[in-house]
Amino acid sequence: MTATATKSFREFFSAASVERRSDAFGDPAWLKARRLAGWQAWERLLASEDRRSGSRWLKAAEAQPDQALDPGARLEIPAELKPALDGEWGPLAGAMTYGCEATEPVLLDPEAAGEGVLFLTLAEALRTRPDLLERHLFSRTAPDETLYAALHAAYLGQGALVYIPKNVKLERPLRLRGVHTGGHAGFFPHTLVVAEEGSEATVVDEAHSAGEAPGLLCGVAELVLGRNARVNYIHFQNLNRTSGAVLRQSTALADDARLYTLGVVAGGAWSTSYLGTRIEGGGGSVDLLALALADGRQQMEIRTLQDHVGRSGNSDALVKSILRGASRFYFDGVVKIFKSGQNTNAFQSNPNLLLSSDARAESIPTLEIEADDVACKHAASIGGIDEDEKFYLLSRGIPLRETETIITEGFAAELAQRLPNESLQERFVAILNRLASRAG
Amino acid sequence: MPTEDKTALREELKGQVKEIVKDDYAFGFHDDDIAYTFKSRKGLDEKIVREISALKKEPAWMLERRLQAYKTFVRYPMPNFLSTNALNEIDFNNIYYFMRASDRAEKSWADVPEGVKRTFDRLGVPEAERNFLAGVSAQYDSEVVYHSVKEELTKQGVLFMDMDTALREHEDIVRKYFGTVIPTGDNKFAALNTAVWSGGSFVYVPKGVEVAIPLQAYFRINTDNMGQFERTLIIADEGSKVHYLEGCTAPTYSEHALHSAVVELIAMKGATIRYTTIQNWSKNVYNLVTKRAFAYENARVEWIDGNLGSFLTVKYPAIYLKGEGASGEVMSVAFAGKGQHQDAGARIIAFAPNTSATVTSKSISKDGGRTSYRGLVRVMPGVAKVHINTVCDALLMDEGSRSDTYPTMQVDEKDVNVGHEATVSKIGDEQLFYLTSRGISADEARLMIVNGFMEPFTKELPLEYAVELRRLMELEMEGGIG
Repeated sequence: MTATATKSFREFFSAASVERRSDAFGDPAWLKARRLAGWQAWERLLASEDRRSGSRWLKAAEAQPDQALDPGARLEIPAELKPALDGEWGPLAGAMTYGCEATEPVLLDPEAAGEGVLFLTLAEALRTRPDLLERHLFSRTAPDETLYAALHAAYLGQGALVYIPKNVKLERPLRLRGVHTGGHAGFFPHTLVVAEEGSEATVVDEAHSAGEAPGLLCGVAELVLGRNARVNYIHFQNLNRTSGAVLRQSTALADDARLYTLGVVAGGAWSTSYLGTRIEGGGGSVDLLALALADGRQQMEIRTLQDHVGRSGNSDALVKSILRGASRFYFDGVVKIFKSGQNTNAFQSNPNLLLSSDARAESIPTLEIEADDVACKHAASIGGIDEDEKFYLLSRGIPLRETETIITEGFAAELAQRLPNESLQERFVAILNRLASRAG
Repeated sequence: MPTEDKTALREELKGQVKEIVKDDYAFGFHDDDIAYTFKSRKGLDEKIVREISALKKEPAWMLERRLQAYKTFVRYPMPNFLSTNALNEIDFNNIYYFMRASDRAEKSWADVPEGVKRTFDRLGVPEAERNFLAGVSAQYDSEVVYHSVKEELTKQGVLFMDMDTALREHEDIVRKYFGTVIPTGDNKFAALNTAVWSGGSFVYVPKGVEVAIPLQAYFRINTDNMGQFERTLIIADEGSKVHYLEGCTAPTYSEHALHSAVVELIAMKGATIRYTTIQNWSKNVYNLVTKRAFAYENARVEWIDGNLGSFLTVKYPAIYLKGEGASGEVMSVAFAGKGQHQDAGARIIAFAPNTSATVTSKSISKDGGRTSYRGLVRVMPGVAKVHINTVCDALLMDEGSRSDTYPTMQVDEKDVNVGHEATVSKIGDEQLFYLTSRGISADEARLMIVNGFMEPFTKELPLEYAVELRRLMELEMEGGIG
């Protein structure tokens, strides 16, 4: 046994430790108020019958607060996760890696810095640009929205601010890596991306574990896109197999903004992700892409929300799962078109590929339409490998073993094709192939 | 033409149309002069349940069922998945749970009370009879008053009668199957029906018999605050085939009436059952129906389901694929006009391998109406080679109307193929432009497009139903504004 005693998840948290975190972070009054509101909501929701973890199915998410957990010893950030301006995402404009406590030195391309791009840890941002944080932090996710959003707000500390000034176009990606370094049950990264009018940026945001000890990743990402801004946001959940993950991503688009968001869920014993987009301005456009890769006894849930408040918006969600072993996947996607969302095009698709008889998929794609001048369509499918496709490949002399790999790769590659540029597409396919070989 | 003029013209036209169709409801008359021989008091308690059973001189086991069901009904909470508060507004104490217009089921048309006949005349029942009806089982209020079975059916051994008669004359069969497809505790409204059921149809088709002509039943609601709780049980024995038709029209009343039927279908090995409904309750009726079918080995069940009327309809015809090779189809149309909410859908559960089902759902929302598709497709663990496909299309006719789609798919097996797709759209401007450029008025063009949209459903109906549906759609579409 390690030095840390096993106790239930909720016992790791207390009003006193929220106070300590607030002092350590140097909260201004407004932040402390939000933090305490989060803590009160956490206590209230824990006590209430309806715990509102935000998950629809995952019992693990509901039971987590009462589960015993030994988070192990605090570890160092592994060498391979330390920031570098190159790597699997190619040459970068910036790189940041933070653990539960420590943050590695942030790397930012001087040219980008010269144009006014901010790439800061939250703590640093609070010192230098409190105005940006006050305006945007928790502007898209209320601290009392769900059980875990509340806990996240109470323990806010790690995370990053990405700020792209007006008309600045960043070609190379910014890469963020949050590492659960253990020693404590929870890890609360917060990513805030503010893209001003006419700006362009790509942000890759990853979550990792340093060791094999369990923990809960309780992360929030808020993306705020100004008029005509273009943002590509890729989130990658790659935790160890003993951890749980609750991720909440909320985005808002002003007039004519363009967002590509891709979420890949590969790690964790269980994982629930909420990917919400809200088109507020006229003509906003979103591609909401996600992939769940599960095997063994992994349980994954992805929920999406496509809100259309503004006129003439486009949104297109494509959520796929590839399931092996006795894994479970749940999809719950909602397209909501408000009365004001006339002339909207909204699409939603959820194909699920079951590669094992013990795997299980559930899908609830939902449409709620209150405007009449719309084109809205959704589709979902659950099934194994198509026998005709397999037969075709076999008839071409491809061995049976390889047919599954080829079909699965093709299935996942459709997501890559939807990304906006070739460089991103190639990087993503390479990562997919690496993950696929992991699953074998 | 300036906008104000157009608006004025529209208002005027709408007024005229209203004059003609009287509240948009073609069958909105009601009879005042029918002498009800029995009328229970309003409200529901154990005593009423006992009274109903005693009046019908039922066997003890049925009374037992009713009492147990009443307790279940009281215990169950009101379902809350509908995202509307409408169900909570039902005043269960302000409803008649049982009444009958005449003492017993009549065998010949001549014996049917005059007032009832007049009502049927206007609905065209006698005409249908003259033509090719196999049997008429016309429910007037709670009990069947008119019922005839063609001789050939009797010769074939087909049993077609109201449920009350069936309970008296074929108690063994009723006892064996009653509540086996939809148990008392299935849901709150199934429990309510089990407690106070009255009337409904009973059909038994013996082994190998194919009933050539559709069996029809007309259901009518007539007294203010009248609840109707039919109980229908259809059993198609091995290798048999039957088509059952149910059409509803009801007079308009100011207070909400409650209609909560239970329909159980059992298709034995190799049997086929088709069940067709055109639901056109007046727009103040709560229509909360539980319909479910068991399809055994190589059997086939088809639900053809049209929902045009009612204030709120909650209905998800279900098919449980219980035997290898079973197949099913649900084909439905929902129309929601002003103030209406059609919450319809389908439930398919595969318990056996090598099974298949298709769900086709069409919905139209107009003048602020709301349609929802709520579906469930489930493949149980270890059940392979299942193909289930769902297609939903929704048409929104104007601003303020709403369409929701809530399909659920649960699959525990890789060797299956489960698919769902849905579209929601308005009438295409190109389509409208094309038709109007050919000299067709915009309203006519809209009606043509709507009729085309509904075509896959309409063509599944017998001719007279298709004609009636078309006429109803015309009435619904009249005064449509662009």
